[in-house]
Amino acid sequence: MENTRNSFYLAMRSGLAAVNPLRTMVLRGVQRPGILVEENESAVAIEIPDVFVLRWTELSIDEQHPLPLAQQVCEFHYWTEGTFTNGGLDRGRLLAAMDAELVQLLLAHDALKQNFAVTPPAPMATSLFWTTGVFGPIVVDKNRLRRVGRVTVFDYEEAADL
Amino acid sequence: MSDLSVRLYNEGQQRAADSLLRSLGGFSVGLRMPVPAVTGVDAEQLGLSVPLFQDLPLSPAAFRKVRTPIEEGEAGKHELVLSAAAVAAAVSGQQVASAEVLFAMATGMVVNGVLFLIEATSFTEWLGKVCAYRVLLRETVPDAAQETVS
Repeated sequence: MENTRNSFYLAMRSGLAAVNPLRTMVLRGVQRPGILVEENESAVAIEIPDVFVLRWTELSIDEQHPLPLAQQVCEFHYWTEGTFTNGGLDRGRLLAAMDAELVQLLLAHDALKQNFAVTPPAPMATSLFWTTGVFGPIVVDKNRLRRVGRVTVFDYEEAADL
Repeated sequence: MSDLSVRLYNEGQQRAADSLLRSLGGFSVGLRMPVPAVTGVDAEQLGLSVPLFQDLPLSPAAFRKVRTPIEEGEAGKHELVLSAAAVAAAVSGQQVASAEVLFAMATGMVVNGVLFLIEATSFTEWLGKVCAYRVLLRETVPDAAQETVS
C-alpha cells in the first residue's frame, strides 16, 4: 500500500508541475510544487493556502482476484482566501482554478507503481489506477473557501508490497 | 477621558517583561526546528528520510501548567511566556518573515529535554510592539510514560 501511496503522490506532483508550474510552496526550506502528503510532514497545525493536501483515509482489500486488490481513498484538501492585493474578492475564482487543476490531475487515471524505498526507485510489475474525482461542497470558513475532493485508488498487492 | 497624547515607543515595557521573566527563573527552552530538506530528493517528501532537527535556544521564559479540568486520556497543557527580544532574534537568525511563521515552521518546543507540541500562540503588546509571546503547549506523551524506574 505504501508503494501505491508514494507512486500516486509523485504522479500528482508531476502532473501539477505540468498543469500549473506556478503553484508552488516553500516547505522545510525547499521550494516544491504546491502539493503535499499530510502524513509525511510535521504534525504541526499549519495550514498552507492554495496548495493541495493529500490525506489517505479508507482502505479495503478484495481477495477475490489473483492478487489482492487494495482500494484506498485519498482526499485532496485545499482552500484559498484569495489574494491580498484583491482584498480576497478573487477567492471564488482561485478555488475554481484549483478545482480545474485537480480535475486535470486526475484525468490520467493510472500510473506505474514504483518502490521508492530503494535507490534508484524500482519499477514494479503492476500499475495503480484511480477513479474520477468526487468533489464535496464549498465550505465557507470566514474569508476562506474550502473544498475536499475524493478519489479511490486501486492497486494489486504484489509480494514486494506485503 | 481618553488619552489622546502621542507617545513615542521605547523598549521599557519589553525590558520590564524580560526582567519579570528573569525574576521567575530565567528559564531557557528550545524551539525545535526541522533542518531544511534536501532539494530534489523524493524520499524527503515521502516520509522515507530520517529528519534532522535543531533546537533554537530561547531565553528568558516562564513555564507553567495550564489549570484546565483534567480529562481521561487528554494530554496535559502548559503555557510558556517567552521574551519578545529572544523571539525577534530567532526570527532574524532564521530569516523568516515573522514570529508567527517561525512558530508555524517549528516542530515543537523542548522544555527540560521533553518535547511539547505547539497548540497556539499569542502575544502581549504595548504601543503596537510585542512585549512577550504566549505559547500554548501540549504534551506529546503522557507524563507517566516518561518516568523511569531506577
